[in-house]
This record gives sequence, C-alpha cells and structure tokens, in this order.
Amino acid sequence: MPKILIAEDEQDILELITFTLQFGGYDVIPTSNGEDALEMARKELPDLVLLDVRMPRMSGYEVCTHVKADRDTHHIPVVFLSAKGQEAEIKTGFDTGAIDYILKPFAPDHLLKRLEEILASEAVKSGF
Amino acid sequence: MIDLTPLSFSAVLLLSGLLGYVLVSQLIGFVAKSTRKERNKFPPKIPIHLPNHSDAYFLVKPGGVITYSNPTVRDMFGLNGEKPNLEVIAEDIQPNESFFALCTREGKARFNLGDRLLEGKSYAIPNNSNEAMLVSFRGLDLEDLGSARTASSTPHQSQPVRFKESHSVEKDESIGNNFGVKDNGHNSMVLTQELEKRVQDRTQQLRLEHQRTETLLRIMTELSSSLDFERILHRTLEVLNEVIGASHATCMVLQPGNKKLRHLATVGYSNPLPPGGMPSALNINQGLVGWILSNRQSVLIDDVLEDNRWIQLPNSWYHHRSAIGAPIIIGDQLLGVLLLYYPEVRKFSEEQLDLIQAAANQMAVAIKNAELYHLTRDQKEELRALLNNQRVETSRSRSILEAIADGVLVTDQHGEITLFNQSAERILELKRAEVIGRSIEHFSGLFSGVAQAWMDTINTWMQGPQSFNPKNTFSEQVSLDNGNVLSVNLAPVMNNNEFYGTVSVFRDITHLIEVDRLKSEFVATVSHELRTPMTSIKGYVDIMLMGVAGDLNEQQMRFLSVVQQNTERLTILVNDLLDLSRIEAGQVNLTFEPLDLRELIDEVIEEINRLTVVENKTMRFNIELPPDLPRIKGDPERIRQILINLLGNAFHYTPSNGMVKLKAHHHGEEIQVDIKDDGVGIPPKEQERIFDRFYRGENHMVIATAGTGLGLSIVAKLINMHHGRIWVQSSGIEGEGSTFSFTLPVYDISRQAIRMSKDYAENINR
Repeated sequence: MPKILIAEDEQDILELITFTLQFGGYDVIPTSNGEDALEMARKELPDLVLLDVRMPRMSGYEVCTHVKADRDTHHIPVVFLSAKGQEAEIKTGFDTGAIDYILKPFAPDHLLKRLEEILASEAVKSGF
Repeated sequence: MIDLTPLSFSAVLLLSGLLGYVLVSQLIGFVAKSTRKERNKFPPKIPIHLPNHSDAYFLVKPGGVITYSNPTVRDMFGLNGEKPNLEVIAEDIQPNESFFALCTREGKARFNLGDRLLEGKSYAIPNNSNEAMLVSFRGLDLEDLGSARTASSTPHQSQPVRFKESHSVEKDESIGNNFGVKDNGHNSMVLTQELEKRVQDRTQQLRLEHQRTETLLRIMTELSSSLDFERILHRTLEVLNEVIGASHATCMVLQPGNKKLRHLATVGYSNPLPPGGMPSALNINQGLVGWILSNRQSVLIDDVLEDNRWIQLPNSWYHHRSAIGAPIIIGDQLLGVLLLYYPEVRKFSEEQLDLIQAAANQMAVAIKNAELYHLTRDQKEELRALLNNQRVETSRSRSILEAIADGVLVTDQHGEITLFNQSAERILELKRAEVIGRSIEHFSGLFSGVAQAWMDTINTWMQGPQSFNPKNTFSEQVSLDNGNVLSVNLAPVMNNNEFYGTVSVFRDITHLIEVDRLKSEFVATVSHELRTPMTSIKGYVDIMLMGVAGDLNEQQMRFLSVVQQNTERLTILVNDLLDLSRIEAGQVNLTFEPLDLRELIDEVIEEINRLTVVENKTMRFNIELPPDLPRIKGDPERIRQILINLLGNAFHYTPSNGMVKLKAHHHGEEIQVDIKDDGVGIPPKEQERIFDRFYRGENHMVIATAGTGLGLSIVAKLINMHHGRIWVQSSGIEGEGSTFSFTLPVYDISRQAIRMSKDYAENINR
C-alpha cells in the first residue's frame, strides 16, 4: 500500500485529505506543519509527499527543497496542494522540485486520479 | 529777381544811390544792381566760390569804389605781381563821373563804364596779352548771385583778335568803338551787333546752366540731408517749385506689385499728405502720368487743356494749365513720376526739361536709397522679432522642462549634458553643477552598472545616429543603488535625419512599484483566503456526494448538489475575478506560439461534451474548418480559455437539442472564428454592454444559468491582448440565436523570429 505524507496546517482540510486518500487506499501520514513533515519524510520515506505551501514553522517550499536536497529523500515525488494560485507561486513550487501543483479547492476524485497517475509513472521510472 | 531791363549802370547807381555789383568774367561781366530792400545790406555776402572762380568778379560800391575783387581779375588784367589794388584803380574814377573808365593804361586794366556801356551789350577789351576779349555786363541781384547764379567761360575766347599797335586806347573814347577796322565803321557796327547777339544768347544759356547746376546742387543737398525720406522729398519739391516757378508739384511713386501710383510728396496743395503718402486717382496707364511712364520721357505741356494726354479729374480744386514732368528712373527700373504745374499757360520752357529730368534722376537715387534703407530696417526688425520670439520660446520651453515633475536630461550630439532639470536633481540626487557640461560617460560613472543600458543606448545613438529612425525609443525600468526604481524613456532628437542629441525623461516609480507589489500581495492573500474555506466546503460536499461517507437519500443528494453547484460557481467567480484583476493590472503575460486551432477546438468540444453528460442536455456541435487553415499565433492556455468561454456560453444559452456551429476562415493575416448558436439571442440594446464586467442581460434563461458575468469581459480582454477583435451579431429574437466572431493573427514564421526574440528580451527585462 503506497504511503503518502500529508502536510496541512488547516485541521479541516487535513482531515478531508486524509479521509480522501484513505478512501483511495493509501497509507496516510498526516502532519500539520513543515518541520514535522520534513522529519516524517526522512523517517518514513513515503512514496509521495503532498504539501501545503503556507504552513507554520516551515513553508511547503522549504520542505520540498530539503526533501529534494536530501540524498535519502530526493527521489520522493512532491506534490503541492495549495490555495496559492499566483503564477509566481506555482512557478516557485515547481522550481523547488515538485512534480505537480494542484490548486485548492480541489475535487477529491480528481486528486485521487492525479496522485494515482504520478505514482504509476514514478513506479515506471524506478523500474517496478 | 533779376532785372533784365537795359538800364545804364550809372543811371541805376544814381537812381538807387545804393550799391552796385559788377561781375567781369573773362568774357562776361555782370553788373549787379539792387533794389531798395538791400539798402542796409552792404557789403553783400560774397559768394563763397567767387575767389577761385575762373571768371573775374569785382564789387563796386556806389560811387565807383571797388571794394572787392577776386584773384581772376588780377590775372586777367595783368595786375600780377604788382600787388595791384583795384581800389587804387577805382580811385581814378571820379565820384561824379557817370561811368567807369575801362581801358588799358600803362599795361594796367582800367574800366570805363558809362552810359554807352549798357547791359546786354558786349565790348571788346584788350587783355594783358593785348588780345581782344569780349566783355559784357549784367545787372544782377545780389541775393540771387549768392544762391543760384554763376557764370562760366565761353568759346569766344578761342577767337582772339589782335589789336593793332597803332590803336592807342588812349585815343579812343571807348573800347567798344575801337574794335574792328576804324576805316570801315559800318562793318564794325555789324560785327558788334552780331557779337552782342551771340553773347546775349550765350548769356541766356549760361544763366540756365547756372540755374540748373545750382538747383541740382540744392536738390542733392536736400536729398542727402536727412533720413526722414518723405520730408526731404517734400523739401526737394519746394526747391524745384521755386526754381522752376511752378505752383504745384508732386512726386508719385509706383506701388510695388501694384498698378497704382502713390503721391509721396506734394507742394502747393492745400492738404498735407498723410504719412506714407496717398494713392493717386489714376492708374499707371492713364493720363499724362501714364504717358510719361510708358514713354519714359520728360514732357512739357504749354496748356494741358489742349493736350489729349491730360485727364482732368472731376471735382479737382486745382486748375493746372502748364505742366512739366519727368519719369523717375534708375537704370531700367521705373520708380515714379515727377510733375510740376502752373495755373497759367506756357509757364515752363524747354530749357527747364533738362533740369526736371536731372532732378528726377536725383530723386530716383534718393528713393532707391530710401527703399534700401527701409528694406534693411524691416529686415532688422524682422530678425529682431524672430530672435525675440525664439528667445521667448526657448525660455518658455526651458521653464516647462524645469517645472515638470519628471526628470529631464538632454544631451547634445556630442554627448554633453545640456539640460538637467530640478526634478532630475531630486530624483537622481545629483546637483546640476555636477553634470551640466559633462559628458554622458562621466554621468554614467555616477551610477553602478544598473544605469549602464541607459547610458549605453545614448552612446550608441551618438556614435551611429543614422542607423536609428526617430521612432526608436528606449523605455526601461532602471533600479538605482539606493533601491529606487526609475522608469526611463529615452529618445533621440532628430530632425531631417540630423541628430541633435538625446532626451531622457525619467520618473521615480519606486512608490508605484510598491503599490503594485501591495496590490499583488492583496490579490494573492484574498485568493488564498477565499480558496481555503472553499476547499473544505467543496471537498466535503464532493465526498458526501461520492457516497464515501455513507449513503444519502435522494433529497440529501439533491440538496448537496445545490451546494456543490454553487461552490463551483463561487470557485469560478473567484478565479475569474482574480484573472480579470491580473489582466487589468497587466500582470498576465502571454506566451505566444504557433497553435493549431483545430486541435484546440477538438479539446474544448470534448470538454463541453462532458458537460452535456453532466447536465444531461443534448447539444450538437457542427465544426467547419478549412483543411488549409494556417496556424494562429497565441497563448495556448488563453486561447483555450477563450474557446471554453464562448462555446460554453453557446451551450448554456441554447435550449436542449440545439445546435452550435463553429466556422473558421482565413483572410489576409487574420483567422476569423464564428461561433453561432440558435439560442436566446441578445437584443441589440444589450449587445454593446455584454463585454462589460458583470453584465448578464435580462433574459430569464441567462439569469437562471450559473455564471459570473465576467467571462465575456475576460475573453474580450484576452483577444485584445492577442491583437484580435471580437464582436457579436444577433437579431435578439429568441431561437435565432447569436453569432460571436473573433479574429486572431496568423502565425508568420519570418516575422515571428524577430518578435519572439523581442518578447524574450521583454520578459528578461521584467
């Protein structure tokens, strides 16, 4: 069962995503700030990291940058799920190494579909 | 005046008991007599030219005492070297003698004036070479002598007659009777008479010549005396009038480029001329004036009433009879006419014509001089005015440049800074004294590299001004070291391909950029803050509708669907609003690339077809694209947005089972796309407002459909950004639908390369 790390400071939304992903059959590691997310990413080495951008203690951008900078975690695909929709913000997300940038509000089924696609292509890449 | 009556000198002397003036020329002597007026004017003023005159003059007081003689007298009569004094000679004449003795005695000249020595008669007298000289005497008014009369030598001198040795003058009573052969009294008499006549004629001739010369001298003096041209012309006419004995005189000049003459000066007429003269009643081809002008000849008319050239002006107060006139000519150029009149017939003589013409010639010179003077003066005034205007204009321009809030920096063609206004001082924090007169290179040294592009452009233009067309401008944002940001507009100053320098206009836009940043930040914040709660709403509703959170009954499903649809609507609204604000703020940059319209349309139709399923509304789409449709130039995401909006509208506002047609055709450098539906249509009065923000018309079906009223507004702006046009056609009748048409530019490879690099450069600069 693929393991997905979530970082989201809004409790309601964290719960919504967790519920959606669990419904989609994923093993979910929920965190509510950047620092925790980075720690768990290093510890748990999830199959995918789903990050909010604006979070306390450490922004999603920073988490992504660290994940991508760490030899142990740099292979993990990072997807942003953010309400920040400015072109510059999206561009920054991709610049830090993210594989996708999904805008809030999101449709749960669309999110599941997208993550499934990403994991499938990552699987192909890593030779599974 | 000259009294020409042949009175004897002695008689005059006796009668008047006053003074006499005797002129003895080599051949001609004048005996002057005076009238009572000169009673107390003795000695008379000696004409200044007399001492050196080739004629002999001496002045005789009543009683025969000679009080003055010029050197010619001594030369002529052999009185040289003896310090002769004619007064001494005169002493020989007894006061009671009624004549001067005129003879030679011991080699000295003696004068014998008596009853027989009458005016107008000529006498032969021997000179010191014992040659006969003809002498005649004339009475002459002293004042006239001083002003206008002079005498000159005559050809008679070339016919000397030797006196015979045997003829002793002492034996003869008078010189006149001694002349000729004594034996032949008759012959002598005839010769004497003939000589007298010749001398008389000659005298008259000389008198006129004398008059002429004197008059011309006076005229020339008058004409050159002052620069008040009309006044001197008037004064000249006065002199001429007086000398000629005319009553009226006028000087008329041709108006430049005109068929009219103008009286520039007149004498004898009751009304003075206004400054600048007065137009003549006659045209240049009329009357006596016309004749003089066309024949270029002087004219003398004894009686104008008998002359067909004369036109008597009606209502004229003046009754001219005699007329004399001459054209005023210089070189080939006719300047005008000089005319003098007298109210009685036969006033003027042929002899006066020469004088009139000579006077006219002098006037011509004077008029020409005056013209030149006026021309020079006018030109000077013009230049002064021009210079003054220029000075005013320059100082005004400079004041404007100084006063405006933008910084202005002007360099000349050598790159030297010639203007640096107050705002420039403030914005660049530099003192004018530091930069004025310095070269632009020095100026660029005051900044770090950020201003380099600005300075480099000036330098490039300076070095190769020919390579730039005047439309070229440089428009950049330049960041200074102190953190301020300037918007710089730089343009070469060109005129007729000549490079005069550059002008830079710059403005501190630091605060504008800050405002812009704050606005973007606000938009970003609002966007984020709106999306976050909507995420929860939409997410949970979707999940519930998916049935993941447990089964729902039909009513619950329906209610949640309403929430879902409205959440969707709110999401679109927020996205559109943010989109529009970003487009309006110029924050949306298009990435142009060649696009295949067919592919884009297919994708969009596919998307809308999904809507037909979701909304359970059947709709047919009829797409007609010519096979050779060229690619368009556009931003793929934005073109897709345009198509979704327009096709979405067509789908939404057409009742079920309707038809939406899309046609495209290519003409010139444009591709036109027409999207026609057979829906509700748009009434003409609403058509002009449908591209306004939030305007949705009043149709019930439109209002019932979820929408924000921002779609068409965004579409219009996006098409505009693509340099295209959009318009709508609709009868407004329900069922006839509407046709939305828009154009997009064809992608042109040859031009695109240039534009792409330019766009790229622009993006880099931003």
